[in-house]
Amino acid sequence: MDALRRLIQPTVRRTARPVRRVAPHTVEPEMSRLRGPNKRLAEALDQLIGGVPLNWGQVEDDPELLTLARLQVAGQECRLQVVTEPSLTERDAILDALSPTLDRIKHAPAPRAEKVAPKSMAGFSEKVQVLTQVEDNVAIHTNIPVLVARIMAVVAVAGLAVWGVFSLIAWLGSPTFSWIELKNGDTLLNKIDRTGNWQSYPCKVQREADPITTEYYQAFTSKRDLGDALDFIIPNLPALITEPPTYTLSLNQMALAPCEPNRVVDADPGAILKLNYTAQYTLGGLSVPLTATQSILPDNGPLPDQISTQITLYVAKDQPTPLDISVGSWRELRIIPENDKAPFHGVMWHGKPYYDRAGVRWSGDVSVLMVERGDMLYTLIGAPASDITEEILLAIVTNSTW
Amino acid sequence: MPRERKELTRLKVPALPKIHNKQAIARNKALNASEGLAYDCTLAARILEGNMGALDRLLERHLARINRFLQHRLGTGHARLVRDVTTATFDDALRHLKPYAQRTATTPMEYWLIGLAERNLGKIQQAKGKARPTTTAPPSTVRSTPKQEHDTAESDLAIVRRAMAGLSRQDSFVLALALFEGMSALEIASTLGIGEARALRRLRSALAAISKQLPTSAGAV
Repeated sequence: MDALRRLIQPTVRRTARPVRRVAPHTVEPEMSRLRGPNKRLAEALDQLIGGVPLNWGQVEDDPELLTLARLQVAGQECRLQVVTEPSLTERDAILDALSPTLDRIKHAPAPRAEKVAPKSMAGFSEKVQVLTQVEDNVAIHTNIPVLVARIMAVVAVAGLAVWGVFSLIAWLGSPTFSWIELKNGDTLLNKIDRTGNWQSYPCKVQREADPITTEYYQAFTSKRDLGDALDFIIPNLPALITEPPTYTLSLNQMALAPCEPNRVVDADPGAILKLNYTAQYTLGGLSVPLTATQSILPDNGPLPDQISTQITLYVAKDQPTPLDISVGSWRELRIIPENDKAPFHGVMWHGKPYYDRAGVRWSGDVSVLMVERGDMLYTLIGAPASDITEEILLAIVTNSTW
Repeated sequence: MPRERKELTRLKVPALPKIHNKQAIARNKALNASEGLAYDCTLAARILEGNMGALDRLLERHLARINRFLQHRLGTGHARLVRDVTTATFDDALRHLKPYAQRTATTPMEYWLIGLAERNLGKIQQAKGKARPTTTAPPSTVRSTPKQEHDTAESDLAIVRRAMAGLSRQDSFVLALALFEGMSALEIASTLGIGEARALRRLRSALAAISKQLPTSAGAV
């Protein structure tokens, strides 16, 4: 019938104007959609609110309604009880108790206004379904500055993360020494694993804090006297190195820097030993002429039979020793001696300029082999221009009897 | 403060926006609560701006109702607990006024506050370690003691309160709304924040539960 009414437009007979149609159920009061037991219970509640008790016909088949009817006396008794109204004083007390919360709400930041999507233009209905097209995928509400800021923030965070990872890897990869301190300016580049009471000697602390302090070495001619003044046994370099060419090493000079300047005491725990060796090799036995040798040979005149160069060895016990690696090149190495003792751990540095512990400036390129084992630290210095190559220094340590 | 209150009394209350929730619209229409809801929404917006006078006006509108509900729910002799729960309820309400301030709330504030009061009552009782304030004896002793069944000195209300103490908090609450507050099905549904049919099912379940706790014959009960 309703469909027919829609098809045939009804008209008012007198005016012949079309009747204004109104959608059904829009002006009528909302009908209750409750059915069955729920409807009966809702009607019973309304009836009890009106003061009409439930009759037997209503409750006889419904145990819950029967219970409700039984409870009504108690309900009425409760509703009739005199309830004390809150006084103005109590209200003011509650108001005072709420004022901190109100202050917090007042000072809370205002919520950001939500962006309202623009409505469709006049003449286009939002209810018409429009299939997704390619143009619809373009985000027209993109906030470019915010997008750029977000991208920059993400890039910055990623950069920080990468830098952190590389720093961690570098820190984990840095060598650990007891007495050697590799320094780039004031920055310590290696990890330190150090024990002992070296800090109780002021001379050792000063040497560690100020690496360019010049120490005064006192020369000794007697090895016995020198041994008495030291806290450790004097190490001897091997007399013969069979690396081609064959080197002959001979002790040239012995000196000692006591802990207190100019005061040599027996078994000085802060003393540093300095040994100068002369290294000689014969040119006649060379199958391949050394490049370095050419530079130290005289330009004119006959070739000498033997070439002599210098090797310096510093020995210290429980002494932190810095090595400036801001210039030149360095590498970490472990040397296993042929006497089957514990391996040496140290660095080989190559570069220029170099000032040794006595304040002597070495001219040209210098090779420094600094190795430690236990509480002992050995520093071997030689000039490659004088044919003291890194291989020779390594061979000396390998063949040592320390 | 009085000046602010005077201004708020003369406040022009804008109409609520159209909410596409047929159930809520029908409920508000049946409760005839739209006008009061619109005024509460305006007060809520003022309160969130930090207006103390609006808060005072809100208390003036709803404090007595919440106080009455709590006194009905707890019985006499719990003045301090009623005061604590009332303060906690309005404090809670202050922090959740946003839907009212944005005029998107559908529940009349009176019923929402009663729901908050019930929740805060439960929290405070739990914090104090009390099972029920209305409990004067364990529920198991309520039903079958012949002495109690024939004790005419005990009022029906006391018996019902003791029986309600043996129910779950949810059943006890819905029964309190129906019996002590005299609420209709729509009002109960609005307070519980659920549909009318579901609220009635919950009430039926509570009635069935309390019928097991009541003595078989004792006065009108």
